[in-house]
Amino acid sequence: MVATTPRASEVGAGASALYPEHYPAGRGAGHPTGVCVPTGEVAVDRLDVAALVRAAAGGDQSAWNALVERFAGLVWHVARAHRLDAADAADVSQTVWLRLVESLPRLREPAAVPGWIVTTTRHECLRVIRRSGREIPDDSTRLAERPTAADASPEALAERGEQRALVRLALDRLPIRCRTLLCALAYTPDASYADISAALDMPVGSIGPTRSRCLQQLRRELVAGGAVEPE
Amino acid sequence: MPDSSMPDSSMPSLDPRDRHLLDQLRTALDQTEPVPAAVLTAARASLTWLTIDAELATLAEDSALLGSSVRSAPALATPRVLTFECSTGVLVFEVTPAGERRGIMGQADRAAHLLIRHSGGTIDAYTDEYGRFRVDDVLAGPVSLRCTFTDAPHAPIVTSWVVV
Repeated sequence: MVATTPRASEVGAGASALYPEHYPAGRGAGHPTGVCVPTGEVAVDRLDVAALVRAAAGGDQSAWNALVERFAGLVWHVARAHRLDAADAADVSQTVWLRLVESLPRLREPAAVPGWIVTTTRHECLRVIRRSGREIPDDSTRLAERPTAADASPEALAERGEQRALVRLALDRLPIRCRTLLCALAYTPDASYADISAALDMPVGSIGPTRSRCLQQLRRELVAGGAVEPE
Repeated sequence: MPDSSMPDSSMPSLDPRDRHLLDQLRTALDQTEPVPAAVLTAARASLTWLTIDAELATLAEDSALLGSSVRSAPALATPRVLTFECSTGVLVFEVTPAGERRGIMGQADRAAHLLIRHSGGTIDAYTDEYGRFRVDDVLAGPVSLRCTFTDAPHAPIVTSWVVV
């Protein structure tokens, strides 16, 4: 069986209602064109982040904790997508959070923090990689440096039906650009093209095609790795 | 400036199937490798370093990255020099590693009281009359210097965090 998230059925059934901003006017199901409906999850999400950022800038620890809770995985997995080991990923994480603290009083666009986080994490990863004299991982980098234990081979995982581990393995086999983009999207699926473009140094026009290609590659790796088609 | 609270050109055509796959991916990442507890604890504690009354001096130059050679030997052979700049001043220091400790020696624009903020806590120090200083026993990891000038009406300077 495919592991499904609680939201999967809602998304499948009523995506255009839940995420009206994703659908150009005229294609959305039943939304009057020209009417701004700030009730979608996207708008609420951005407002939430902005409110948390403003509160944290005023020293509100619980707001800060909520931001950490929400984006710690994003920072960590973007760092891991750059093939950093756990110690380096921990240093990068800590630097990113400290940088965010120092930036809090100066941020002009609190809602753009997720993009800021991805940008800063990427830059810190590249700094660590360059300082250590390693090569910057390019599209040819494969899993060689992360040896697979016998009981973690795709076959063994497939036998035990560990879908999540297989999804992870499939991601790890993608080129770095796809790994980073998909990590960023997994944690901030509602990011705008403008946010993603700034965070990943990619031209706005190439994000749509790149995203499609990366998702397609992920699906291909999933099938190749013996995972169930995730639908 | 656009109203940041409204989504601008949000991802169009992220169809439900793709969204579902991204949901799965996030679940897979969170569950196959949760963020280590120590990393989360440190991240939460970061807010205690919030400073609002100082000019932020950002990292303008890092000798370890000069040349962007893939060889590490030259970078390790000489002390790493970090230069921080803001509109009101410059602060330069070099880092000498000694195991898990770092020696920091540098100069601010003028005499100042220093607060070295590092993973082991804080270290108090004073520069000499020319702004020069030297501090040992800084722990490896993120470090930031806060510089309060003793003899002038200049706003304090705080350097951006950097791993040494």
